[in-house]
Amino acid sequence: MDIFLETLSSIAHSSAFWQTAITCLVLGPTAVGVYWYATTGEREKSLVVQLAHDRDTAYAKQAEMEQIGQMGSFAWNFIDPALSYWSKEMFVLFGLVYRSTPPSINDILPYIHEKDRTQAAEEWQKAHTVAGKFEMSFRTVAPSGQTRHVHIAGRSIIAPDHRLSVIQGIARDVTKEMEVDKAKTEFVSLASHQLKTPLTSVSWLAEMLMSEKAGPLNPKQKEYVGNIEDASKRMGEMVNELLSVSRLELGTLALHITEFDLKGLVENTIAEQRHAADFKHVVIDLSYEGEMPRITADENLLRMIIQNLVSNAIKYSPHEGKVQIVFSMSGAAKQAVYMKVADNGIGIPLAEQGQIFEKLHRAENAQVLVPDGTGLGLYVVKTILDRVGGAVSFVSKEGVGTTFTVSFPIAWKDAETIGSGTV
Amino acid sequence: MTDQHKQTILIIEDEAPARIVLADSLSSEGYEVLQSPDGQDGLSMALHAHPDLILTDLKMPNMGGLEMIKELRKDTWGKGAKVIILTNISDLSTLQEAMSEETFFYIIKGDSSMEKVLQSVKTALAK
Repeated sequence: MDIFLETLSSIAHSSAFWQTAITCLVLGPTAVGVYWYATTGEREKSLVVQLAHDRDTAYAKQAEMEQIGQMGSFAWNFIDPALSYWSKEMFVLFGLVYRSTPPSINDILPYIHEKDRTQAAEEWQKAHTVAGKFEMSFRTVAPSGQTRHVHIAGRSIIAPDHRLSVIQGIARDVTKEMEVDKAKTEFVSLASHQLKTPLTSVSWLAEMLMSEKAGPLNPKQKEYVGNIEDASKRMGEMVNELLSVSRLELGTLALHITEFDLKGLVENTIAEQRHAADFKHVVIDLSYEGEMPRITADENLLRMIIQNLVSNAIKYSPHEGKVQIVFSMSGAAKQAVYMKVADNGIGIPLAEQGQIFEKLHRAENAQVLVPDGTGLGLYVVKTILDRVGGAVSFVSKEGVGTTFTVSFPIAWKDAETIGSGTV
Repeated sequence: MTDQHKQTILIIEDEAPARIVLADSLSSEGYEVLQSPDGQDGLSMALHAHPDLILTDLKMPNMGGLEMIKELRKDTWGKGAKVIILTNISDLSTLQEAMSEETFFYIIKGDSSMEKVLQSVKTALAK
């Protein structure tokens, strides 16, 4: 393509080209071919024919490769719209009939699944204003009703005068990958659920032994049974975490929204963590800036957020460390709650700060200190907050400590937006 | 021993170790305990023995807990029988369906100590 343009450009700079152009204007298009053929040298003629052939071959090869890879390419050129294009496969990904002029971003929005449309529109909008690479995923719904999962990897190029120049990239059909991923998640969900049944027996049997209703235990036996109780409790927590993750990913976690007292929930949840904190002589300093409201939210999910952040802070604090938790309300409207959890623990290494919200990711220093963590806690926190219109961020310095800041609305969105179903 | 300690409790649960240890624990509290491994057997046992309280699992062979409760409610005595659901299903829609059958409460087994189950039993029987 580039060679083709360069050659055309070199021809355009030759005087022969201009003679041809002027002749075209004088004689009209029908005579152009005849004139061109008569006045152009054999070498140039064969070069142009060869270039046209090469271009067509390259286009055909690209189209074939895109079809094989279920991948389309696109470019919207906002300075010269005539240079915008959509490859044939792009039309296939949206279930549309091929045409030579590409649709605009607004044209394609109706073919994006209604649940993904708002977010996709926001991301396209962001691509208009921020130069550089971007990625997005959404489902397309063809006029025939066929749904495809599409992943876009693109780049925005902004002209020096700050007018947007080009948004270009490739789109890939990731429907099969999504199906495999869903099957894996369903398997995890089923396996976790099945694990709970024998786990209940283990913990109840240990509890029965520990109560000595089945006969007295000697100190060593008591210690062993206590260890069984602790281990089954930890395993139960892990299974619950896996179940929550799989439900969040499958979209089957229905929000159970009720109105409750935020302060009550906070204090109950933190009280549950006191034992772990006392064990390490970690001081928990809980305070409130102003009155805490009654909120309408999913109590269990909010508890999970608080639990994860506070238990991480305790886990990664040094012996006799300090965990500071502050709750406050935002702005005059007081429509959002802020929670700050600060510790003076091991901190998150700078190189890993970009990955800590990724599923199963655990920072290297965290793995050394607490080898049996799941790497799901922060992923769960972020996933829940993303779904309910909240946010989580942090500042951290290795060896100094970490401060997480969470915000969430005082009225969470309806369960419908998260989906419902059974797992 | 108070009257409460002579009350009869039926446990319908297919996971034998959990059922047996719960039965032992309730017996040690002075309750009369009946046990059944599935919904169908549990239903006939309930209709025959008229226990003061039924603890039932939901997912069981032969007849699930939800179907068992529906059948139970068709009976004149069963209409008013006290039922606690003991399950690991934490899916709200199933639980809501079960709760609409006028059961007392549900207990997520995996998240509850036996002590908590005992407290729920006492609360249900006191009502």
